[in-house]
Amino acid sequence: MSEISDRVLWRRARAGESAAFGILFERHAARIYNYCFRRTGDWALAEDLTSVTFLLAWRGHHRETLRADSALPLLFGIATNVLRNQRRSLKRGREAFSRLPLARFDEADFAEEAATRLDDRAAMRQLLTVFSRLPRREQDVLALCDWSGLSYEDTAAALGIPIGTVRSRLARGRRRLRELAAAGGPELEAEIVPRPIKVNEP
Amino acid sequence: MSIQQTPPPERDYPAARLELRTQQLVARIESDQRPNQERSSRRRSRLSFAVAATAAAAATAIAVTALLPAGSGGPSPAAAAVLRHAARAAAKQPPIAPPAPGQFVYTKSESLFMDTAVTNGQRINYYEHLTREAWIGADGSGRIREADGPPSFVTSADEDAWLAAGKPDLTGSRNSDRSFQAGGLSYPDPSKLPTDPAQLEQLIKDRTIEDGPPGDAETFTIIGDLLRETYAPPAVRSALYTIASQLPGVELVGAVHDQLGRPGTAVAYVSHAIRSELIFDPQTSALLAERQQVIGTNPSQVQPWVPVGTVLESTAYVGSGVVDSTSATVSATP
Repeated sequence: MSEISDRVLWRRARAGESAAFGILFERHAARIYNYCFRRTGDWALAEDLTSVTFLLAWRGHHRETLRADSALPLLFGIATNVLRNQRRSLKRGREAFSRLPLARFDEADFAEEAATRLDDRAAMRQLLTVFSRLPRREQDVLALCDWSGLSYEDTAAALGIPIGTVRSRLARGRRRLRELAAAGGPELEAEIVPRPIKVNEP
Repeated sequence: MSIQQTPPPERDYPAARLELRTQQLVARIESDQRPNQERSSRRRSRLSFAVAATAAAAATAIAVTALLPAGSGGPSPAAAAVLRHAARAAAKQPPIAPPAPGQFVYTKSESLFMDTAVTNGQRINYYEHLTREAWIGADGSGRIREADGPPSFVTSADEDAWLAAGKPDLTGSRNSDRSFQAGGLSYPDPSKLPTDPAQLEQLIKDRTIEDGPPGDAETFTIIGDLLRETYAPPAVRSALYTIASQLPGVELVGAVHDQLGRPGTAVAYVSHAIRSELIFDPQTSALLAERQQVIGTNPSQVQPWVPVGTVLESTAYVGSGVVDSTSATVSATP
């Protein structure tokens, strides 16, 4: 049996079958959720940002035909914008979903994993203390290519930049990250929560 | 010696919430597709044809009245007058220098957000308390610090249900402190916006300043955005109030007290049975607070467990100003 393609689901959602968009959410929510967690170091925030990403995808793009086979590059691109402007996005998300409150517990399966998730959070926040020193455009490319495993083509499509630019930013970003990690390692290792950092890069 | 450079492995989306989150999204999309005030089809189907025709005529009359309170598609005359007054008050305030390079606009706010917890099939409506501080530089660098307070309950029945469930932890673990490089906090620099109301209105309605769906409800939201956490110069603030004074659907709530007990004037926009209020100081026109309240039965019926009158969200702005670093704070509004 073959599952219905993103393209078909997208077309059905456009035609008014909202449940088709629900299937797209169930299919891709985890990827976007993990991406948002890695960019923020906050699981609950990542869940909210994931919902906002899908809502904005619907609002901004549902009139268009999905050209790619997968909706993921588009979703990663929207998530990147949502992450870039969290002040605005969360406000919008709270408005959009205020009528639909979130259930915060009654999740035994999650409780078992709670310790793992706390470890993840500590590890991620430590990594972000260094990562956040990179220029934003390099952070975006590194997070999409190296963390989420998108191809150069999909990253270029997600960010709306040429493939050559993806390559050069990736190379620069990886080098800079290595340098920062090596230089800042010992002192940064003690930090769990991201601390304010200097505005000017060293 | 060097620190970990790769993130932990990807985890599953919390299985217990995937279904609920999917339902939320689908319900939200469906309500987007529906005209604002459509009656529920279930109710309509019970009416006889003749009654339905009468009801439809009455509904049309009500809709026309609601849309045209001033006879010309403007806001309610009372709201317009109050907002014009706020625009004049804003224009009289001393000019403020926008943040210089290396300086930050600081805003501190105290918020309540209604949330619903589900345990043993029972819903508990409670408020998440959040203290938020934002430092935003002209280049988009800065810092956002958020801290959770202990939750409170919407009604005593909610508190009883919480006690009966064994006082489950309701804190959202929102404590966070994040720093941003240049461009990390993109926002429209209010000191660069036109001060001419007509020009500014065009940029807002074209969604040039901030993206968003068309419609007056969204325009009202964007006006709120530009007043919030941005330290808009008096002339821009004046223009924003002038635009609001001409926006169809804006209504006057009147004299209110915000969640901290400070007196102010509230104007509002109603959409999907939720009233969004902006509360400002009539003397200075500074934004004091914002509030969202359920004022009628929700047409899309997606949240039947939230009673009419419930405040869904309330934010009070307790400090704002320009500071020299992301550790300096201000404890009063301008």
